[in-house]
This record gives sequence, C-alpha cells and structure tokens, in this order.
Amino acid sequence: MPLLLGALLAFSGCRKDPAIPENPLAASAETGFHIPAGWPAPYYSFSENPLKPEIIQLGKKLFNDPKLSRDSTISCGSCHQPAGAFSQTGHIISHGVDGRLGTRNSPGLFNLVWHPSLMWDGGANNLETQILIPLQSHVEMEMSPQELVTRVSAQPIYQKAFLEAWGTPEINLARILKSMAQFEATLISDGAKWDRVQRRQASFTADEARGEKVFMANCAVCHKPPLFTDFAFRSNGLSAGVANDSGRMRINRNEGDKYKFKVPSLRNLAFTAPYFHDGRAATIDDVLKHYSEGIAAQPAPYTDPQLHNGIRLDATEKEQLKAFLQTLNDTAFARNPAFR
Amino acid sequence: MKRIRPGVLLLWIFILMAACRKQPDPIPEKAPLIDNGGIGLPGLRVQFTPTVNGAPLVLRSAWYRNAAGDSFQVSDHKYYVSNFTLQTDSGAVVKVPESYFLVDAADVHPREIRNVPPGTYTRISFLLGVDSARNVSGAQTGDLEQSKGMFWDWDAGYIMAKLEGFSPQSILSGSDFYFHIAGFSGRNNVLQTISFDLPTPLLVKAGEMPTLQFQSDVASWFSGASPFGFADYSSVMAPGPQAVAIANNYSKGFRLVRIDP
Ligand code: HEC
Ligand code: HEC
Repeated sequence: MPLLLGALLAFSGCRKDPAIPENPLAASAETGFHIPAGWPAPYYSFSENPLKPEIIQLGKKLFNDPKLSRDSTISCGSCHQPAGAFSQTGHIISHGVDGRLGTRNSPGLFNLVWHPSLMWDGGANNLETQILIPLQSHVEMEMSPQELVTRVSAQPIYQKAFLEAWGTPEINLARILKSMAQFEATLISDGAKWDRVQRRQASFTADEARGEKVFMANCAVCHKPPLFTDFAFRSNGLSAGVANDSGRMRINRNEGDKYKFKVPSLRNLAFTAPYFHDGRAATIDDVLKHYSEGIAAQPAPYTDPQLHNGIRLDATEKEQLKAFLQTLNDTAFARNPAFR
Repeated sequence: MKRIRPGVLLLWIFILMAACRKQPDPIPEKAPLIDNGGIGLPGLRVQFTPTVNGAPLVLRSAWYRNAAGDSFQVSDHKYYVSNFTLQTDSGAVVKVPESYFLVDAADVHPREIRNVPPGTYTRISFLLGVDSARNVSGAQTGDLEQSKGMFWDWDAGYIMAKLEGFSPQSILSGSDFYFHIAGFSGRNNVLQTISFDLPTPLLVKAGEMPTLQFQSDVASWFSGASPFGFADYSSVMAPGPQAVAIANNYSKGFRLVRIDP
C-alpha cells in the first residue's frame, strides 16, 4: 500500500511547474488573475502566453512608461488611469502626444480577456495586437514598433527585467506585447456590491432591488450581466455627432453597421465619466435622459430595434435605476495598489 | 490477486519521476516561423521575384507603364506568401507547417522549406497573404512579427500585399500612390490560393535543395478582371471591394518559371 501511495505521489509530481500554469486559473494567488464564479470562459487564450508574475510586473512597467511615446510624454497609463478604472479622467476625448486630440472617449480597462474584440468599433481582434493601435496612432503615442524595440532594448533596467521575466535576454516586439497583455489581463473587476450580492455576501436595499428590476426589463438585453455587455455592435439611438464617426462600418465597410458601437460595460461608471463613445454625456442623468426622452424626440433610423421608442422612465424609476447602477462600482478595483 | 513485487513498483516510480523531470521551457514561445526545425528530413527552396512585364522590378529609379498608359515608379513592394502545400505523384497532400514568408522587392532571396518528406512531387499551392487565424492570434515572431510595416495600425490585421510609388498621373498631392491590400474575412477577404502543376516532377531527397523560381508581376495589379489607372484611384488603404478586385488582379500575375537543381 505505501508503495502504491508512492506511485500516486510520483504521478501528482507530474503536474506542471506552478509558476508556469497552463491553466490561468491555477495562478490566481500569485498573478491576481481569476475567473469569477458564474462568469463565462475568457475569450483571450493564454495558451501562447501563460501568466507569470514577473511578466505581469514587466507589463505594468511598460504600460506606465512614457518612453513608449515619440516624445516620451505619454504612456498607456496617461489615458488609462487606475483611479478612473483605467479610463482617462477629466477628458471628454483622449489627449495624446503634442496635446493632439483623438475623436473618442478613453474607455475603462477591465475584464478585457472577455472581450471578443476591442475598441468602440471592434477594430482590434486580440489583446496583444490592440496595443499597436494607440502606439502608432499619431494622436496617441506616435511610435513605430521598430523604434519601440530599440528604445526598450537600450535600457539596462528592461534588459534585467526581460531576462528575469522571460528567461533569456531577448527583447522583441512579441515579448513586449505579450508582457503588456498579461498586465491588462489581470485587470479583473469583480468586487462591486452587485458581485457581493451574487455571492450572497450582501443584499440590495429596497431601491437597488427595484432598480434591478427596471434594469433587467429594459437594459440587460444589451448590457448583459455579469459583464454588463453582450459585446455586440449596436446603435443606442445617438445622433451622428460632430465627428460623424461611422463606428463599426469603419472596420467592416458594411452600410448596415453605420453608427454602431460596441455595447460598453456598465461596471465602474462612477469612475469613467463622461459617457458614450465621444464622451457627449457628462452624467448618468444625461444618459438616462437620452434613453427616456432623447431617442423618442430625435429618432434615428439606424437605432437598434429594441430601442425604437426609447425607454420611458419616470423620475422614481430613474432614481431606482441609478441606485442599481451604483452597485456596479468596484471601489476596491479603482484603488487596488497592485495596479499602480 | 497477483502479488505486486515491491522491486518492480519501485522501478516504475523511478521511471515516472524521471519522466516528469523534463519541464517544458519556461515560456513556450513559438518556434521560429521560417525554419520548422527540420531534423534529418530534406527540403526545398522557393524564391519569389517581383517583376514588371518580364524584367525584375527595380525600385525607385526605373519607369514603368501600366495598362492604362500611366507611367510610374515603385518605391516599396512587399507581399506575404504562406501555407505551402505539396502534392505527390500519387495524390497525397503534404502541408508545410509554419511556412510564412514576407517577399520584399528590396531583398529578393530564396527561402527554405525544411522537413518535407522525401518523394516525388507534382503540384504546389500556397496562399497569397496570411491566413485569417494568424491575423487574430496576437503577437507573432519571424516574418510575421508586427514590426515590418505590414500590420495595420487601426484595424488590426496584416497587409497582405503592398505597392507604393510615384506617378505623374496620381490624383494625390505629391503624386504618390499607396495600395495596401488587406482584409481576411467575409466579402472583404483578399486571400487567394495559387496552385501550379510542376513543369517536371520534383524529387525531394536527402542532400539536395532544389529551388522553385516564382515570379510575380507588378503590372498585373492594374490589369485583369478589374483594370484601373491612377486616375481611378491612387490610394487603397482599407478593406473593401477595391482591395478585393486588386487582389484578384495580381493573383493572376504569378508564374512558376523554372526549377533550379
Ligand atoms: C491618447 C490617449 C490614449 C493612449 C495613450 C492609449 N489609449 Fe487606449 N484607448 C484610448 C481611446 C480613446 C480608446 C477608444 C478608442 C477607440 O475605440 O477607437 C482606447 C481603447 C483602448 C482599449 C480597448 C478597450 C475596449 O473596451 O475595447 C485598450 C485595451 C487600450 N486602449 C489599451 C491601451 C494600451 C495598452 C495603451 C498603451 C500602448 C493605450 N491604450 C494607450 C486612449 C488612449
Ligand atoms: C439596444 C441595446 C441597448 C439597450 C437596450 C441599452 N443600451 Fe446602453 N448602450 C448601448 C450602446 C450601443 C451604447 C454605446 C453607445 C455609444 O457610445 O455610441 C450604450 C451606452 C450606455 C452607457 C454609457 C457607458 C459608457 O461607458 O460610455 C450607459 C451608462 C448606458 N448605456 C446605460 C443604459 C441603461 C441604463 C439602459 C436601460 C435603461 C440601457 N443602457 C439600455 C446599448 C444599449
């Protein structure tokens, strides 16, 4: 019998090295990554980029390094700030190198590994290659990938960090992108009151509970829990706007997708104002006014069929809805020292 | 029940432990894309030479004329070929894994395809461009590394073929022209599979490295099913019907000219 036990132990010794988990789930304690109970499987595949604490740290360093921009003034973190749930606080549209203005509002960055596509128009199909878009954009960081590799390679601090993280000193574009993607992958926001209620660690107030009913009846088709988006491209009836941004159509040239944008998550709204793809709504009140009165007052032909007549909400329902939306704010995420 | 002999079991435990010792490399990165690590098996070479009307393309100095009669110079010309498959005389198909080559008019040289099973081959096919799977698989290395000016910076995906230059007939200020042909899904898909019957059977065996000499034709971009001149468009920088039409044009410009021993 002891011998059989020994054989079993020998078998279990075959498990992979805990520092290099094939299954990202196994890494939760060390990497901060986990899949919250009841959530779907992540879309991003870790098979070509297994999480490792040293790589995540390296990715965080790169994410916050202004040397990644042409004039060394702007980092990813300039437009994606931890306290704003990684949105650009205080800006309607993004500000990049030389103070150049973009046309869209910097969204918060969290739960990214569940996104089948990234950006308001879904122009990026992978968390790793998404990074190349802001990097090269002349209104954001204006850096060529070659120059990026040269700059990073020249710094002793990175030479050391790449060696520690990747096991060999080579610094190439793929390693830079994969490291940054690992940091972004760990930005999990599942600590809102709503999550605690699901875990039966808290309960809604009467107003929040009524707000939840209004939400489930009117909003959840598109803003689907637990991620509070279905990741589809839709129009919620906004007018074309000053930039006349055609949204999804810019990517797939499909006339039927004109003015459609990826449904945003409604988590962390307290930290991510202003709202909508061009930041035109300053407050949640403005957003609710759009759904309740705006759509009906100014009907747009491309509006999603589910919203054709808008969503009539009286003053009480609006307050209840707001109380519910507050339960989606994850203060622990916005304050997490591990992300700074 | 048969008695278990402790000695045998101990041996088994030992073997199992030893088998476990070998851990995978700390971070499994993809093998280099060009060489698929051929150990022992023979291979072949492919070379792609961009030409114009039969002569090798000369960048920046030579003047050319397209079917519309416009004169032009070329400053940059690159394209991807990938997913090579070979067919034997008995009809068996051999897929060459990880065969992705960036052809650059500024640096024409033969590329090795290793690890081809010995045999007699009569047909070769390849994809003009990068398959959709690799367009969505994140950071890549080798010829696919996203630092070669062949990856889009606003709609993440590969530029399958690129032609840039200068023409007095261009309608752009500066008289430049830019054609970045991309798009890998749905009706915007510009990927083209090209196949050739080999002029003579190709014998792949140890100790030999025959080279298949291919030519592409820049003039074919402007002629074929959808002919156009610079007055029609001098810039195509987005997926869509124009890119699809041009890809269809240039896919007809490929030739297998000879096999060098
Ligand atoms: C100048 C401000 C700015 C900088 C710098 C910037 N971003 Fe962004 N980011 C934005 C804006 C604006 C968007 C939305 C753009 C769009 O949809 O077209 C965005 C979108 C994103 C998204 C997609 C989020 C979603 O919900 O789809 C990710 C991921 C992201 N950025 C990561 C990064 C990384 C990594 C860097 C550094 C390499 C970076 N950003 C640098 C402004 C910026
Ligand atoms: C038919 C789908 C649909 C329905 C139903 C819907 N929304 Fe939206 N919502 C969207 C889309 C699409 C956007 C992005 C619009 C844009 O910026 O162009 C959006 C944006 C938002 C935003 C802004 C988020 C941000 O970060 O900018 C908020 C807040 C919001 N919706 C709340 C609600 C509420 C509350 C309801 C129910 C009363 C609701 N939505 C119903 C599709 C929908």
